[in-house]
Amino acid sequence: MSLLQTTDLVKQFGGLTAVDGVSLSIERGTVQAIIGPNGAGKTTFINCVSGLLDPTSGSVQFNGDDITGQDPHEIVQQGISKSFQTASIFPRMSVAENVQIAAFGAEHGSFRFNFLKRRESYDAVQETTERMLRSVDLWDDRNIQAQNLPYGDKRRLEIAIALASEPELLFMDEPTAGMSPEETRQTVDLIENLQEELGLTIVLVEHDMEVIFRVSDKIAVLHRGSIIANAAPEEIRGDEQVQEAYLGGAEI
Amino acid sequence: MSAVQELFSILLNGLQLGAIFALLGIGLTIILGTMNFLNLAHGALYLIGAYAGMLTMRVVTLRTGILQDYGFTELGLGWGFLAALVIVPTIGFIVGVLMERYVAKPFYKRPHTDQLLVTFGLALVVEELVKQVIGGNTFQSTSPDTLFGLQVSGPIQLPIVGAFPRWRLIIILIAFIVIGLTWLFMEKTDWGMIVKAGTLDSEMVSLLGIRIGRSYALVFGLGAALAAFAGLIGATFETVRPQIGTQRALVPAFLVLVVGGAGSIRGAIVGGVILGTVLAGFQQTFSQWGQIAMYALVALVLVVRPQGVFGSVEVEE
Amino acid sequence: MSTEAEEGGTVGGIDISDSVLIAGNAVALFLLPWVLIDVFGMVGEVIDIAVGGYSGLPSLIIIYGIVVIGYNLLLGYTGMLSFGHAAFFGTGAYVAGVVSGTTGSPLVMILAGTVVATLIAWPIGWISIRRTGVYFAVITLTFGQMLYFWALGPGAWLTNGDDGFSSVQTGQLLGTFELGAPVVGGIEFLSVYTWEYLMIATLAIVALWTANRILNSPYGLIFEALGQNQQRVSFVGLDVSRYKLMAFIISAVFAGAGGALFIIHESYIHPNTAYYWIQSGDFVIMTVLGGAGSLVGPVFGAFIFEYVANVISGVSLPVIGSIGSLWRIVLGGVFVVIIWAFPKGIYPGMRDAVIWIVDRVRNRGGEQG
Repeated sequence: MSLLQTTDLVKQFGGLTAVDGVSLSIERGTVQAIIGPNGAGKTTFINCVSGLLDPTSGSVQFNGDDITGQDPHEIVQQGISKSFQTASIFPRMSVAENVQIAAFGAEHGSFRFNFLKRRESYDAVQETTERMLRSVDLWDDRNIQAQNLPYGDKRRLEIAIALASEPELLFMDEPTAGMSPEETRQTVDLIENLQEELGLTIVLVEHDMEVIFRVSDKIAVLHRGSIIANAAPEEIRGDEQVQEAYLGGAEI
Repeated sequence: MSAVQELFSILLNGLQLGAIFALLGIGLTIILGTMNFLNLAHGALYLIGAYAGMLTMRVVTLRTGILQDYGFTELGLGWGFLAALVIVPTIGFIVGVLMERYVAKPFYKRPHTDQLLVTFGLALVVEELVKQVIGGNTFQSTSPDTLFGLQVSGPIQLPIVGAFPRWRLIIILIAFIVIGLTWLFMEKTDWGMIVKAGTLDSEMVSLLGIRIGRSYALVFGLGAALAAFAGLIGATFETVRPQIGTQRALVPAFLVLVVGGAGSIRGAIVGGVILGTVLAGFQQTFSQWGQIAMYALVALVLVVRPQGVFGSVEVEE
Repeated sequence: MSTEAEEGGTVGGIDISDSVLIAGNAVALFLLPWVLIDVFGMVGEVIDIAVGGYSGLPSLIIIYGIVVIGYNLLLGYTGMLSFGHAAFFGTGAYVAGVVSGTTGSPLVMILAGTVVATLIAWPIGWISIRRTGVYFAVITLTFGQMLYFWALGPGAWLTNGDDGFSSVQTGQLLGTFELGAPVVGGIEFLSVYTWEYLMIATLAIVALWTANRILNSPYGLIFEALGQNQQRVSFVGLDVSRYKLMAFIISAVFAGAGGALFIIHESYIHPNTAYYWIQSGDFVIMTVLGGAGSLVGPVFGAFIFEYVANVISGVSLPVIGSIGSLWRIVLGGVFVVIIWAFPKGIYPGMRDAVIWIVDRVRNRGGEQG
């Protein structure tokens, strides 16, 4: 059984159909890329799955449960996490606190939080925070205010936040956008590590084709709200329909 | 009084209250819509309009305040209502332009909460200044007896409603003429279109090479002139005190804004009339519940239709 | 284990930092009346301007201090600007006043006022938090104003309407201590330290301690996060509405307790002081003036506000003459300047200034050496 399954997912804004009947199934432990020209509906699709938008019709199933139309925090609690296109962090908090919040979020039964109990005394949270910061190599920067990090580090901090929610599936919206070649290389390594070590399932939206073809197990091509191809990288590379739609015939 | 008679009387009173609410709301909403600036000192502009109007129309006797301390016992021009009709909006416009330049401008990039806070402080300062200088006492309302040789005071016999104060009818008339002119100005002139486009997408307008900065000052001035005009109208049928800015004007202006929707002139007009009618209706039937009903309506709108009746955009944090 | 966890040692179940906090504030609260009345009074005699406080002022300052400690949890951390917290202050006051007709026990009055204020905060908060920014400010103001007009009109049977509620019969504390009596009798110097002051100061310490613990609990972290990036909070799996509502209700608890203390202290309340939106605005001013987002900053703001309102307003200066009700202009002006120049408030502003000066001095020393 696939981990995430969308069935005929449709999202309309007034008269505009941004996502038009997308059925996509993502296998556990794989890296699934979603590519397509600007305005193809990639971000809308992710927003429909992650709960930011309610789909007009269709359904989303995760681990066999129907999660269509749930609120973002409920979907995160089910095990889907997201890193945003612009580093979405808590700018005036320390790097460690940024991750701590997510680690508290992962303690699902938030009602158990005691108003008067110090947050340092939640051992599991401290442990998760340290593990996640080490995995993105930000542990040494843990006491720095997040807004003072360089851009690449902010993106990695955001990934750490997304990881601290202990997801089974991670959405990454253009994780290397705006990064230097060096930062891009580090991020690609990070993605590969995450997948191998944590067995994480990753859904990647990305424009950098080099990154896509290196890390993806499968690539879905979205065009005008529909999936026109979904296959392994080598097949996509040779697909004429994809080349036609995506780059107007240019070589990928 | 029959039910029909009562109903029509409520509608007329509602129109009159609503006209003032709408004037206040339009000013607030175009300032918010165009500059994304929230002005808690909007009531202070009403206050300035009311005092400027009163002092233009007649000569008042000072009982307290700094001026009185220094021996001034009388203040005012005594030029009558028509003069005030010209002078008061002009003063409002000038104050508005100055306010845009020195108060609003430094806060365009700051959060809405900072804008609320600084203009709240300003509103209190203006209120206190008026109280200190002109006095904290209450002045009677001033309305003219004749305009252009026509009698405008005393009651008039209307069909269905019966006797109704003639001046109140005139107020409704004048206010809606001004509202109508504002509407035409915003809908039919190029400049109005620029402002309207600015409320939707100010970045686009500046990309088109239009100097949005200058229109900002003009919009602020226009909004302020409308608020001052509302103050002048208010001073012709209600007593004038330093507290009217915060008590009678500011809160209704905000209620109109949220009911009508941010940035919508049509919304401000409809919202003003709806709130005015609800208030008038309850005041004539269950008077104690009038204000409460009006606030409850606003709470209801905020919950079920957050963007307001006509609003398309919701204002973010 | 993180280093942060290692830093906080505990002794007998209470954190060291907690006991330091309690002791420090207890000392400050003990010194407040002495400084305000005796020290300022002496200064006043020297410069021949009456700048000394009077005996009820310390209590009033602390009561408002309690309100804004709570209000600051909302504004200073989650960034939600409520213009309706008078609703809870006023409710606390009226309920305590009405209860005093049955039992005059001050503690019961406080408890009743706080509980009812908290109960009405639940539905008001539940509706209000659906909206953000300006709309939140307006909707909270709306609820406050509804209560205001209710207290003036339809609710007059309970509140005594525009005449104000004065039938307050506060009894003895714990059935033995007269609130107005000094704790230690017979010593002139200690006469301002009444049982009432002791009770209010004790509650202020409880309030500070509680607020500090909340800020250091996961809730504090989440409140702060809500003020910075609400969307991210929901995308780490936390229910944003739930925590906003919690912040709202917690702040209402403090406001309710403050209201109950207010009526015990003043024995009178009018809809204007209880519910009018300018009262809510005063809480905002105190908080922002002192420094939203720092634990004790707002209390500092309450001190300045009440001092200016009650003492400076009575000051007569050589040239200008009596300041009288000019105080609101002064305060409003100061407020505008603070927002303009020190967005963080006086207390953090001063702290930053000190740090800046120290850095300057240190750097200069470095250059010379």
